[in-house]
Amino acid sequence: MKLKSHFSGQKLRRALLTIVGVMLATNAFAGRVPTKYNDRYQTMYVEQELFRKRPELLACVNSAKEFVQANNNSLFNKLRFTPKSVQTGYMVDGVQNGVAFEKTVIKAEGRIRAYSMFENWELAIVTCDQPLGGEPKITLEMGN
Amino acid sequence: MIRKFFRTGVAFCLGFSVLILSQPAAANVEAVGTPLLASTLRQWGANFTRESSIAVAYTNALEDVSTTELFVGIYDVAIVEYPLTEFRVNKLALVQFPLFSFGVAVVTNVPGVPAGTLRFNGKVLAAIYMGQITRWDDARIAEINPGVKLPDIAIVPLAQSDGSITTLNFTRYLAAGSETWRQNIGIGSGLMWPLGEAQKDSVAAAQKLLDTEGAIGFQPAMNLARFSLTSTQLQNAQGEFVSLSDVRVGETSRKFIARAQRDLIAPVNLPVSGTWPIVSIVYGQMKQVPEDIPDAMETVQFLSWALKNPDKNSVPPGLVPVAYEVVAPYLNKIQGKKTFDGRAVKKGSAL
Repeated sequence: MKLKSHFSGQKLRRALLTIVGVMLATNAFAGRVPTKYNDRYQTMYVEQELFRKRPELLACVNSAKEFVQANNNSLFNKLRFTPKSVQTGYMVDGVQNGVAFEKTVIKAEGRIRAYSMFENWELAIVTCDQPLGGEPKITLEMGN
Repeated sequence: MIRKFFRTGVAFCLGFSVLILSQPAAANVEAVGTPLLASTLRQWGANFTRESSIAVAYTNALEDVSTTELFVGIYDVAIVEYPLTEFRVNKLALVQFPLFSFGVAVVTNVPGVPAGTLRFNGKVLAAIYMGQITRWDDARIAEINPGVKLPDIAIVPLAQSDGSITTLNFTRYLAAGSETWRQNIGIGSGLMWPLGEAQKDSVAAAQKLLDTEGAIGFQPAMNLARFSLTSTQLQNAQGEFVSLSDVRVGETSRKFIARAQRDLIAPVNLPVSGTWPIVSIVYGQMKQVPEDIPDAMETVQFLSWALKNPDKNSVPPGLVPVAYEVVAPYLNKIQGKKTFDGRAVKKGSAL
């Protein structure tokens, strides 16, 4: 039995060319779309690898992500962590009202104007104040 | 025809049974965690398998990956150097319990001066690692080492960038001893050290120390015997200069775990007489309500058996297992019940 084709050769070529064109355009404009860093599951593993040598910083990153989920703070979606974040991150500890705390500071990069055509990454500082046994307090300063 | 069909069926069933029985048994207890304890836990696992026929497997993994993979149900227990906060443990519905402790030692290679006779405190060590004290005969070292003849040679401070709890707690000790260190450098497991590049890990640092005259470094106590090193004496929070021993480390961790006050995050500078000032605790993590309850209960059996039988389960010198009585209340929090396949599993049952 002979199968009747719904597509002529010309139509098929045109469809393939359109697909390739869309893929190329997506690739070329990839840097201009808003960065959605923290809401991807795969990103978690990338960050775990990035912060491999600094588990105390990763604890802060995890707390920050949970804070985002709980508060829908879109500012955190414009963050990215770099190898420099790992090198320059630090922690201090102390006692406040009889309760020990740890404060972790991570320097990240953030894009406030995410739709701009320029790569306008600016300094963003994530701070986690973690009292012993209590809920962490997360703050984000960006673009100052 | 029926007889032929029956014979074929029996042959097929027999063949299938042989095939199933010839497969190696999958591990019942699947543990994941720090490479620091891999050899010890694999040895304990082999001993347990001989006694109980329950297979135990241990996979090395990064700190947070271990917790994540426990959380999603891939493993039954995670072994971590850096514990989760109480808040996060509750949020993830995990049970976190201390398993081992070890001391962090300060080691030296000073010709003519046995390491065991040297004394240090956080202030002097911070000054050495910041480059403020550069020679062994400096007055600040001599002040806390009366009667010791110190040579006029340069100090070579050896740091590590391995992301370990050893490094983290050593920097806690330095930050506690020096406000300058606390303000300018901070605490971290892989800091940018003020004097430049650090050694890759504790093994590389130990080898470098042995090869370098005038070197000073810090090591987990398990490495001391391995590299024939001796710990110096350290000043604790009570102002006492104490020597490192497994008994002292065990006692320090026991006092830290039992401590009711909430003014100390890690067992560093515990304000109790006779304690070693830098101790690290390795924690186990399990799910409060595990998906695979039979495997979780076998994990509880394994840990209980291992901690109850220290004579059958050796540990390297420097590594101190936590007493079973300390761990048991945590293990009893893990939910066990009759499983889907009808196996009766007792809550927290041990061999």
